[in-house]
Amino acid sequence: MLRYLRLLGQWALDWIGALGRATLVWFWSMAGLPQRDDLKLLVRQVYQIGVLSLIIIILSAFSIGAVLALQGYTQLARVGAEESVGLGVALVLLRELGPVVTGLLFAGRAGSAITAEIALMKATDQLSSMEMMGVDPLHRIAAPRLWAGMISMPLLTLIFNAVAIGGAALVGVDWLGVDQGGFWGGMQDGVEWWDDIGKGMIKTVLFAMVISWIAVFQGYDSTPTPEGMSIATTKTVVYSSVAVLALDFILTLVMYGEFK
Amino acid sequence: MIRMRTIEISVGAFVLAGILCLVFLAFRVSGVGVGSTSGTYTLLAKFDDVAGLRVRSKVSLAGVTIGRVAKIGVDSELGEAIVTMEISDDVQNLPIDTGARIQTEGFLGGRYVSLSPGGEDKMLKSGDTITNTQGAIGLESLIDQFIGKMGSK
Amino acid sequence: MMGKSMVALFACLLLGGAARADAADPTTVIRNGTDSLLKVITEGKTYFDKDPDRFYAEIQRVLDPTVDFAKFAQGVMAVYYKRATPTQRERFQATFKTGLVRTYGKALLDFGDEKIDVLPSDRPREQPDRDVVKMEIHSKEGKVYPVLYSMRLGDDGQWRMYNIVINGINMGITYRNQFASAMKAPENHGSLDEVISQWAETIAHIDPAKQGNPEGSNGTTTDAAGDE
Repeated sequence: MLRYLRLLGQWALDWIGALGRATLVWFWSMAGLPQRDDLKLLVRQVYQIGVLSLIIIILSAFSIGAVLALQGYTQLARVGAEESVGLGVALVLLRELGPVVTGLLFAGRAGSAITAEIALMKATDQLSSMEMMGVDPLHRIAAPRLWAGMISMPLLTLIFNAVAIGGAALVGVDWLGVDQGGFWGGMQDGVEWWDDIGKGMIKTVLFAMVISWIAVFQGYDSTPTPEGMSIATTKTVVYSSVAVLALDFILTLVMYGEFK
Repeated sequence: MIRMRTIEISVGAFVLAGILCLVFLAFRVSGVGVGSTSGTYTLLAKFDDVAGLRVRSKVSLAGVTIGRVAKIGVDSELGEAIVTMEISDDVQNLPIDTGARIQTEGFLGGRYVSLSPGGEDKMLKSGDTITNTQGAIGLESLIDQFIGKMGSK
Repeated sequence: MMGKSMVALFACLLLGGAARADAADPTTVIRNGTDSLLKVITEGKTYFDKDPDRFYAEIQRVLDPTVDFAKFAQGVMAVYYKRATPTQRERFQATFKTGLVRTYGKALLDFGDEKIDVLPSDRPREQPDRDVVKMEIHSKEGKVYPVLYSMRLGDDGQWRMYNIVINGINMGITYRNQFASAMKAPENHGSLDEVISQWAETIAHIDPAKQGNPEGSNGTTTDAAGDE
């Protein structure tokens, strides 16, 4: 019995220790003035993290938008409100699905890639070599990836939303025959610049920070073995996903609070 | 190994695409700036209840959007809501007894202000207040139905 | 189906309309008018079954001095008023008046001992020739129905009402929309004369004896706000 308590205590302390290390990683990566090569590093990372994620984002966005339009149309048609499908799909995407799905996909694709890369560097002693040469690995490895993540993900979310709405329009207007004026007009009347788009973007920026942070840290903190790499990558995906979903719930409560 | 130049170009294109999507979302999806081709003038209206009406709700006449709600204030002394509307300059000559009613748009839709022009000779000028109003109620369709049975139909 | 209570409620449309010739400020006008009308109603309960037309005439007599039917009708005709000839305007005004009296006259009989408060004005007039008078009707179940009368000062120095808002519902706008719908209805061919005749016809078809309450009204005072 006592043994289990001890294990629980150990686990809790480990966890808190990890949080502490993670905070330090974040802090020391963000600190420090930009150096000459930093922009090049950043651009390269934005390419790796953002541009290479485009395919999965665009394909998913289109499918999701189309499916939302299909399902939404069926349900709304029952009460004769098909024209509202544009508005309904747009609201769902801008407020929830856009940030969350992009976050999940990003965590899975870009997040795991970041973790794997850094974990591999750790396992092959590249990080310690850098330190010995007087190069700050946090500055050269972690920081560009953190910033790249925070820049790329919001852009990806914007693209996701736009493509998804486009997909929904294709299905709704061109295929299912919803009136174009009603589709877009209803959407424009009902979608608010700040309330829907703005708050959705705030979510996405927060998700981006959390995912990038977890991804970089897990790589940094990994055990320098092949299994360690695999464990770290898995952790990134799992923790990021859970964090995105939990954060989404909290943010939704806070932002759209009047639920009575 | 991909060349640095290709990377730079693709990153630039990526950022550009993101910005274009933002523009698309702003103008085509949320309707920022729709219908502001001509100038506008201001009309106010006082209601006893504006539940559900928001800033940027539309103002319509005969089903056509002719303006937007710019501001919703309150006169706590009199217990009234004061709605400030921006009306398109294309719509002139609204008589002073024009009616303003808060109605609900369809199924998922929100509230909007519906104007019905009156029969007086004097016209509303910019800054005037519409006093012939009806606030937000749930009974409107029921009432119209009732009146319809007893009235001219 | 609308309950009796609502019909009776609309009937108070006419409550504010009756008045004395020497009425001064708008609140007094409404108060006096309400008193006169209630008197007519009390008497009317005794002879309505035998002579409904007399009742309607009585109501109209007390209403005439103080409802500005011309303005009321102008507001209902709205944009079509400008297109109408003086004859058409007068015809509609008369039709409108008769219509109101006949439609809601019988329901007035359901008025029993509801408490009616005409509230003193709590704010200064925003314009010298316009005012609003507020009235509260307390139904037997304790519900309070607010009524707002839009008053205007006529050229003869008399205050008269030209619109009414009952329980939040602006009757002027509602009638205006009805009129406009009638003008656009295909069977009326957009003709003012037809719409005006239609209005009168519909009213004529409402047989006063059969009007209103299915729950047996043989002159026995049923609970005015009883059902629904």
